[in-house]
Amino acid sequence: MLAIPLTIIIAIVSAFSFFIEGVRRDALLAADYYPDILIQQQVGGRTESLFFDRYDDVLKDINAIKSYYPRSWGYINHTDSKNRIKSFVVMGLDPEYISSGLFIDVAIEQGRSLREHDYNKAIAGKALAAAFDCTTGDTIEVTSPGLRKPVLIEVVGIFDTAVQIYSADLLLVDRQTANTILGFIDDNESSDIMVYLSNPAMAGMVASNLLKKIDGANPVTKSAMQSLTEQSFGQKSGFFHLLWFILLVNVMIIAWSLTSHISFSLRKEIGILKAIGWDTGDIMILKSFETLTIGFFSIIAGLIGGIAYMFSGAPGIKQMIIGWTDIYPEFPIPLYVNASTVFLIIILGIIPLLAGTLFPIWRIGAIDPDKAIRQ
Amino acid sequence: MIELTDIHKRYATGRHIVNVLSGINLTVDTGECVCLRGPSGTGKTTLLNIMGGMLSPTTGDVRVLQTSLTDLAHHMLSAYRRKHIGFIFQHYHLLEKLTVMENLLMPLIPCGRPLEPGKAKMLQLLERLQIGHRLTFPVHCLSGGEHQRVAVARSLMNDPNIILADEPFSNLDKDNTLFIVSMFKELKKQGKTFVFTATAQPMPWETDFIDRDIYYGSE
Repeated sequence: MLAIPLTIIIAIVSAFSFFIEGVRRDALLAADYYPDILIQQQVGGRTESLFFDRYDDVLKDINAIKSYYPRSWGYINHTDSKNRIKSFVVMGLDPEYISSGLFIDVAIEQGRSLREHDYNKAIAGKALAAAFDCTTGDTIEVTSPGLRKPVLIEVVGIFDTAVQIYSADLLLVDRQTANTILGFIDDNESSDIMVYLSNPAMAGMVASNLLKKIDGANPVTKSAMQSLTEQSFGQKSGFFHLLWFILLVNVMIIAWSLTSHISFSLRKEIGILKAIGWDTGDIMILKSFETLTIGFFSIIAGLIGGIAYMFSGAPGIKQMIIGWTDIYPEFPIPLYVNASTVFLIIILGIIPLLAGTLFPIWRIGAIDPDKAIRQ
Repeated sequence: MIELTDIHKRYATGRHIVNVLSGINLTVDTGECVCLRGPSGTGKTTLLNIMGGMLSPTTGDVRVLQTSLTDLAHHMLSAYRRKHIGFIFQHYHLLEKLTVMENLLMPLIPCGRPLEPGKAKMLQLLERLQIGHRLTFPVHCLSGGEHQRVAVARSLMNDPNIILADEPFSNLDKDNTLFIVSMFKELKKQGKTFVFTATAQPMPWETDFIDRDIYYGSE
């Protein structure tokens, strides 16, 4: 009676917990690779593409800046065999930046990385390669929303990184190719500029300097971006906290029902044990072992069920957790089993049950065995 | 050994108060076999439960082995039952989810003694009661007679000096009854004290076993 609802509750909560932990961990890992300052261009309060030359003139004269790289990025669509449109990210970077160590650690699993003058060539994240059903040497047709003419891109490598959420659905190309795909006017245009400083602690000062020097510049510091990431996943983790609350409430309800509705068979069992010489304390120890065993195995079964659900693709909850507005990237679920979360699940699952088991025994223990057996 | 003085027991059932026992006085000596006899509803089982420390009297004093049970705390009453009492319930009251072996070992667990000697005793008892082959059977699979034999075996596991049996023969056929009576006679010879209840008139086989019949109710 106790094992099944507990297993189901634990399975649901653990599935969400491990998923959100995984997403949060990936997001925070990605945040480590953010540039010290990201410069965007704002026009009329909107973020627009920028012209690199205009910024280059200013950036090269600021001593605190160690290096800076333009970046072009946007979304590409892909229609799968079931006629569903899926969105992926295309990112145009200079090859020297990819190999600089500043970009997220890229492990080429097949083929090679991008080189100088690799126009219309790309390295693809694993989820994107799977969606396009392509491997190295294949040519894929890429369309960006609003761009009428598709661009043919040769996949020269398949890559993987430690940060699934950031890279699995990514098509990495050189900036010129990205500009073509995204419909930018020329090579001088880019989405933003990544700025690296000699001393990252000066980010705030450099950012305000940039604000003064370039009209419409919107410099965002690394700490601001990290805070935004935290907020974004914090919002999702609000949902996660709600689930924890639901777990606690459900276990409390089970415990309460155990406490308030003492079954005849339990009452009789306690009466018989007392009649043959068991003390209330002995019965409480016996029942504690019983509850701990049932509770522990239910929790383990729930945890395994939760993990299995996540491995099966988490139907029903994946989009809710990892989607942004209407763009649902395709990447494997970043599952992360955190020991402290497992510990918390066990504690929150076991303690109310233990209380719910022991309290009625203590109550029945106070009455005569004959009454307990007869009632 | 057992002294009951002016025992009263009242039950409250809703608005009604039922006087089950009114001013009962009884003494049972060591090694004696006493039968509380009478029709149903006369309080025989209640009296037996009071002697076994399983029910508190409303008023009156219960002394067993010079100790007043009415003064004992719950855990002391448990220890009393564990050390001195072997109780055979009319409806057996075995733990149905457990096997015969588990039921019989249950009284030994709170004693904190090693179970191995207890297991030897259990096998000996089961063989004597001719249900050794049912050792690993779940109790709910046993027949009525087998239930009763297991209940008898359980009551003897802690080697009690007082055996309280509530209508121990009411569910048994003649062969089973004679078999258990013969066992009780042997235990009586060892100095065990017996108090049991019965609704029927004395049977021929009881004459050399029962020392005293006490009638309740209309009898």
